[in-house]
Amino acid sequence: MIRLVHATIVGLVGAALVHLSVIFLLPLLSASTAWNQIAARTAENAPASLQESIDTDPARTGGNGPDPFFETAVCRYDLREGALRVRASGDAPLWTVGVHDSLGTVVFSANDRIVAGRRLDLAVVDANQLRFVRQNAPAELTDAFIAPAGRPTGFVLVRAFRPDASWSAAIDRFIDGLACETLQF
Amino acid sequence: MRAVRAHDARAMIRTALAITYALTLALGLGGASAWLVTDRFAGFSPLTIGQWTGYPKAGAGTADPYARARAARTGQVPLGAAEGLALTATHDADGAPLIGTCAYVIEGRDPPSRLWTLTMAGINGEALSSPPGVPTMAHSRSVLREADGRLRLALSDRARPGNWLYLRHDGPIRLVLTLYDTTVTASVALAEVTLPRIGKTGCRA
Repeated sequence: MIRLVHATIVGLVGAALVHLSVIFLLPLLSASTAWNQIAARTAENAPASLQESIDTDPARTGGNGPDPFFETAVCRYDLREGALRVRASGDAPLWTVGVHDSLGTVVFSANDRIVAGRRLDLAVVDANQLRFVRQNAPAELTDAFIAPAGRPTGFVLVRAFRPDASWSAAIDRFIDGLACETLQF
Repeated sequence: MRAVRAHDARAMIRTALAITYALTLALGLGGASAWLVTDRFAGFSPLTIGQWTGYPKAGAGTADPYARARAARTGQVPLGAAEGLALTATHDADGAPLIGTCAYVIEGRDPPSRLWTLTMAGINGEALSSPPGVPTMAHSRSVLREADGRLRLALSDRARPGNWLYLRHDGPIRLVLTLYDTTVTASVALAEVTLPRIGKTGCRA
C-alpha cells in the first residue's frame, strides 16, 4: 500500500515534469511551427502567399483562418547568409508587415502609415549587420527601415488589403512586385 | 532458502510494477495534459471587450509558454502589434452561443482602428457555405453608417435593408473582427474602449 502511494506521488511529480518539458520544448521541436512549414515549402528569396507556405486550414490550426480581405506574401530569411531586404511599392490602400523569427516571436511589425512615402523598404539584420549599418550607413539602405532580429532564421510576412474585386489588379501588382533579396555587407 | 528466494522475486516484481506504474502515470498524464492544454487553451491574459476576445500578446516576446506551445503546435501566424489584432466572438450580448440558424444585429461605434474586417466561420473555424452572390463578410469601408455615425449590421438568412450579411449554418458559429492599425491594445483605459454589441433578433423555428 505504501509502495502504491509512493509510486503515485513519483508518477504525479513525473507527470508535471513531462508536462512542463513538452510545453517548453514544443516551440523548439515541433515540426508544425509556421517556420518549419515555410522552410519546407518555400524557396529563399522567392515570395509565396501564406496559404502556399503553411497549412492555414482553421480546422487544423484551431485558430482563425487568414483574413480573406488580405493578400499575403511570405519571404524566409537566413541572416547567416546575409541581411534580407524586402521591397514593394504600389497602391495598396493598407498594408502591414511582420518579421517572425523561427521560434514564432514577432520581432518587428509595421504598417504603411508608420513609414515615410508608404513604400515598403525593410531590411532584416542580425546584431553584426546592425552594427555595420549603424557605422557605415550604406547608401542603398538610407530609406529602409531596419528590423533587428535576435535569431538568424525566420520569415517576413506582408499583408495587403484588397477592399473588393476592383482592387485585385492593383493588389496583385503590389504583391507580385514584392522583391526579397539577400544583402552582403 | 527457497522461501527467501521466492520472497525476493516477489519484491522485485512489485518494484518493477511500481516503476512501470509511476512511468506510465508520468508519461500518460504529462503527455495527455500537455496535448489537451495546447488544444484547448489559447493562453493567459486574453483581452476581452464586450463579447469579443483577442490575444494581443500572441507572438510577442512576452507571450506565456502555453501560448507559445500552442502556436508552435498549430502553426498559427499572429498579427504583430503594429499590424492589428484579431478578436473572436462566440456568444451574443445575452451570453447565449451564436447559432447559425439565428439572426443577429451588430451595433455600435466603429472600433478605434484604421480598418476593420468582419468574417464568419463555424465554431471550429470551418468555412460556411452560402449561395453565390450574397455578402458573407464586411469591412469598415464597405458598410454604411446611421445618421448619427453608428454602425448597424444585420446577419440573417433573409436579405435586410441597410447593411446585411448572409448567415445560415446548422450549428454554432464564431465571428471574427480584425482591427488593423488599432490603438485598442495601447489604450490605457481599456474600459473606455467599446466594441460593437452582438444582439440576437430571432431564430428559425
